[in-house]
Amino acid sequence: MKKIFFRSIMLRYIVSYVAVMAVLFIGVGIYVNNSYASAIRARIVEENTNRLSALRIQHEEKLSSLINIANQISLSPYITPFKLKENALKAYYLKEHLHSYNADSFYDQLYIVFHDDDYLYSSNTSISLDIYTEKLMYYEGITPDFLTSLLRKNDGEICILPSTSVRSVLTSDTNKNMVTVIIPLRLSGRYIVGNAVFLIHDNSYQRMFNDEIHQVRNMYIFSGESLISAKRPIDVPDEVILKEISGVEGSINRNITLPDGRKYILFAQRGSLLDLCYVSLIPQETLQMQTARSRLAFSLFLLLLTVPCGLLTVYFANRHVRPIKEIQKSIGDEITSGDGFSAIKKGIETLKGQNMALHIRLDESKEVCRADFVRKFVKCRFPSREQAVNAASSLGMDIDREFYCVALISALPPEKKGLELLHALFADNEDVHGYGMEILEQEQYLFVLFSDSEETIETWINRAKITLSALDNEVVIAVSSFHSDFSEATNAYFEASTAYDNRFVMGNEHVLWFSDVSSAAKDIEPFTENYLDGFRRALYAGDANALHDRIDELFQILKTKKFSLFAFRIIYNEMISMLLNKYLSYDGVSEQSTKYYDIFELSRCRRISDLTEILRQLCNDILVKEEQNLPDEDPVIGKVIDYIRENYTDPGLSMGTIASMHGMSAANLSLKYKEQTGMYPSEYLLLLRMEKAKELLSETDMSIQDIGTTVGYYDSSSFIRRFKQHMGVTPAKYRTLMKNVT
Amino acid sequence: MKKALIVLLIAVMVLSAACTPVIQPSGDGKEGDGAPATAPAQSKDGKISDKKITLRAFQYVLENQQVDFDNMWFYKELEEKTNIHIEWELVKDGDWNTKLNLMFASGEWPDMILRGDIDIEEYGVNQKILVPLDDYIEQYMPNYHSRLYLNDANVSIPASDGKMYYIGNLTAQNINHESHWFINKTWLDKLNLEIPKTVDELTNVLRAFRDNDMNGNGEKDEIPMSAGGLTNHIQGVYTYFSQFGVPLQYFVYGCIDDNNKVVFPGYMPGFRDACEWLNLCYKEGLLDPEAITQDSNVWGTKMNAGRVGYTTYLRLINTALTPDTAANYVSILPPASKHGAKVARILEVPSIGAALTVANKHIPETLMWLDAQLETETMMVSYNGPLREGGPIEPTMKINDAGKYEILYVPENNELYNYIPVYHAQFFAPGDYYFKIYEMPPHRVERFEYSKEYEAAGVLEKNSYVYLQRLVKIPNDESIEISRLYNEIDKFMQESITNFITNGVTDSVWQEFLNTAKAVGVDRYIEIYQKAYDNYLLANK
Repeated sequence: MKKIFFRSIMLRYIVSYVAVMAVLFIGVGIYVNNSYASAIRARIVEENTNRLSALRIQHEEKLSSLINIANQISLSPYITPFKLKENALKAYYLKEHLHSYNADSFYDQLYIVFHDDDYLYSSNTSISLDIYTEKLMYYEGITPDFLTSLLRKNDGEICILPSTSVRSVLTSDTNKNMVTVIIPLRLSGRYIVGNAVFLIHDNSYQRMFNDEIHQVRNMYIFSGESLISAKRPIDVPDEVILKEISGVEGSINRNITLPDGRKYILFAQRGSLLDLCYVSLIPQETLQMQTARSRLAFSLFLLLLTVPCGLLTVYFANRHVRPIKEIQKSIGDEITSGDGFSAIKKGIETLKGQNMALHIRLDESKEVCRADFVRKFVKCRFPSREQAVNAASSLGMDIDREFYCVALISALPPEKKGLELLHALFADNEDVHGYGMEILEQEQYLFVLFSDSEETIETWINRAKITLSALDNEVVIAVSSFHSDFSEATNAYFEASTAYDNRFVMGNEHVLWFSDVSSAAKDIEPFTENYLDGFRRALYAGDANALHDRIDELFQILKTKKFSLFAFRIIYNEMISMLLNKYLSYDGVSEQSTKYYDIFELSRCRRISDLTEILRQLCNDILVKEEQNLPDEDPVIGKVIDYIRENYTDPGLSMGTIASMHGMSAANLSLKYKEQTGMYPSEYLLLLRMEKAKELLSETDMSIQDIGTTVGYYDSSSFIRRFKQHMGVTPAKYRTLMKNVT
Repeated sequence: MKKALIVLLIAVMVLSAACTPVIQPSGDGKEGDGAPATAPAQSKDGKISDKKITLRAFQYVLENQQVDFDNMWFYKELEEKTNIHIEWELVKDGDWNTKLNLMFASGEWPDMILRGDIDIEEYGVNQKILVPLDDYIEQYMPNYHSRLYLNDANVSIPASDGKMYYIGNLTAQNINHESHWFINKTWLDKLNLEIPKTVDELTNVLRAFRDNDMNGNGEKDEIPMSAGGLTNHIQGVYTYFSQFGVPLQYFVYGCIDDNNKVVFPGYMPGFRDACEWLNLCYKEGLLDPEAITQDSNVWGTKMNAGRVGYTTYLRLINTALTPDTAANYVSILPPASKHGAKVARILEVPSIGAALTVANKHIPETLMWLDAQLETETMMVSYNGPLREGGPIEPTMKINDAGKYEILYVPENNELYNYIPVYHAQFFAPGDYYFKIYEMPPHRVERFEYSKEYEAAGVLEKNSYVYLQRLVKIPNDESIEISRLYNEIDKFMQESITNFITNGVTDSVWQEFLNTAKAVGVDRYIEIYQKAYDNYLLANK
């Protein structure tokens, strides 16, 4: 049962609601019980006191209006006392005058009687007193004589007769109870000349007693000891009331208990006229009933209140429960398993877990996005700077800086956490913002660095170099030039890439700045061809020493100069192809030797020493093969070579001279020489002279002119022209370069 | 959100419905605006309404009758039958005009006004407080409608705009005058005097009555000649002017002479003589000094006290007079002066039975309630007393062998008024209908005989003032003028006559009377009536 009960969220809501309502109900009930009785009593007292006041005011207003009428009649010029028998005309006018007082509906009849005359007058008739009292007016319990004495009353006091059954043809209804009010008429307001007699229908009083408050209530108007009029639905002896109100001044209310035990609340107010006292009486049951009714009404109200509240609770519970169920469903949870709240808790925990995972993924994907952005940036996929900046800022990247450059960094093994280190470095330096990606196939990290100053970037790069080198001393960092225009990003990348590729020639001890690479390349490119020429001659001459010198020379150049990769590749290709051609021409050379030509083998060369090692190895192999194949050589050519080596400083040495010395034509010699050594004898001569010149240029302080003469030129201008053709630079420039390197 | 709002609204509605008292629509919401109302659903048992309807009635009451409508047997029976309860406001004859006008002016109009005279032109045509009933009568008042056109009874009812603003009240009796002359035959016999035929003879008889302790009580309390007020058309001082050829009444201060000329009674030759004779009687103590001021009750008290020798009155049987008193009197022709006698002739045209005000929200029910009273048996009972056993008194009527309602007896001392409205009842019986169903009772026969007698004696005026009062049509604007002039002339005549009676008529006073008559617009008043009467004659040639 308990299980079922707590399973439904709806039921929980309802139970909670019922519990709250019950508490409210009991609380309010207790409060109402304690305070309602007195509040209702106060209300009833107020209600009845007000009602009684209203009655008093109304009645006294009516009486005042009667007194006013009497006063008006007193002051009327028609009202000088007269005797009808002597002056019927006056009686006629009086009667007519009285018509004007018919408008007041409070009283039924108005009679005027003068003390000196025997007649009464109304607006309808004159009546002699005796006919009035004896024949036309039958007051129950009042004798004609007493009535006459009342009509003749001359004490100047207002007199009010209690409601009495009056049977008369003169009144509009017969056999009706009438209250009679006799008010003295004072001539000119002073001398009492007669009385105005008002007959008031008891109905007029009953109308005053009627009210909208639906309570059983007795109402009384007493004048002194006599009851003027009353409405008595409750049977209570008048004497009891009279006793209670004797001596009452002002307004009172009190509880009274009859001898038979019935209890009532009595309200009384003393009027200002005629010793009038206004009384109302309600049973205490009324109070109790009202209290009970109010309680009941309040309870009903609360009960009724529970209905819409309940509906609202169910409605809102439903609103809550439905999505919860849907959530449960969507979580894929068993809805019946456990109660809804546990399911929600469980669901939320699941969601929390999922959310965290999602966040992690999102963070990762952010990196991916950033990498993607970097890729796009580098490919210049953003039409404008602004779009690039916006795209970046949406990824939390701040690229809106004055300068940027692209850095390529050789990837470190994962365990060394190179990337994390770099990110830490970025985090340390607020002025440099770097965003990167890993180029897996190149085993590189690509970073685009943004900053407002070039120096900051340089500083950062140097720091990075130091930091990374601590992990791996072979780390390569290549950096493009500084750019401001985002549309140059691709260029920047190529610059970095170029710089990176130059590691072979420039080594990895320092940061590879593209600016360095490019400036060095410009100087060195013309030199490339001449160097290769010399290398080839040494190779074909089979001069191992010369070869090794060339290789050392290359090592020196590469080590000291910042070769462009392009230039380096030309040299490398030429050298390798030269070597391989030579090498592969020998028998029994395995194809394995071609490995030196493999670009990957090349890319594995991290240091220049690796490269020169390979070259040296290959050269040695060739020279070994060369020695094995020497028998095939023409001995004349060998002699020619030697001759040339010995006499190359002679300016007069020419191919004709040499050919004639060896008994051949110059053309034949050249062809044979070319066939055997791979070059013409003139080329070899030039190579020797240039090598000697270079040696002298770099190692001596001899003048250019002297060197020219020394190596076999008549004049320096021919030497300079030849040198420049061979080396790409003038001898002076060459000397400067070589000095700088050292 | 919207749903939530709706739910909240429903909740609030439920709450407010629970917390506020249910207000029942009052009445049926139909305004008494004069448009034909929808027919009320009459319940199967003949009741007009299933639900008790309360209507307020402003009811005229005769001056000299004791009435208690609230407890009247007839109306209790009627309420039982119709399920309509009436709250009565009873207004005595003497207060009628004042209270009626006050009521109209107050704006607190009752649902209906019963039996008293109303200025139809003013309150119907002009102020439109009364409801025109033409559209309702045929549908809701079949009894009334079936008799309305008999004996041309309908002719006098429409107002100047042609609409019927009231339900008529008519008791055809074949009578031609109202007031009749009576002398105390016992006293005459005591004095061995003849019935006086002339004013002079009458004066002497009155003197004899004065001087001879006629009632033998040793007191000089005899009243040789009495009257119940000045203007009362049955027993007022005005009736005595007939002895001087002036058929004076207060309904219209105009008489139509034999030549169809409308004449102001004050200008008639006998008027001054009449005033002088009345002054003589007043001075000599022949006329009750209270004659001018007392009402019919006081007059009746004096009559029944056996103190009066000569008076005018309606009839002797079944009136305010006790049979003992009535037995002392005999009917005489009015003693004539040198101007001859001329008694006001009446025409039997309907008076006002009921008029409805626009405050009435139950017009159909009200008319059905009125018509229920005009159903023949109910109507006869309302006037004459119970027909069947089980009433408050022994049946006073039966249906005789001829199939007519016949009076069995008339209770003494107007006892009938305790149970039935009698004169105050709704009654509509034109001659052709009435004489077929009704066997004339003695008191009816009495007046019928007097009428024959007076007609034969030629003491009736030739043309009745009723033409002017009820039959001529006066256009609305002139009707207002007539109304204003009437008020002036009525006051002027009452004051003048009272003055003449109490102070005598000197030439100067008489001249002043003539001057004032002119000043208050008597000539214009007569002119309007003359024109209207001429038109009437032309139309009815």
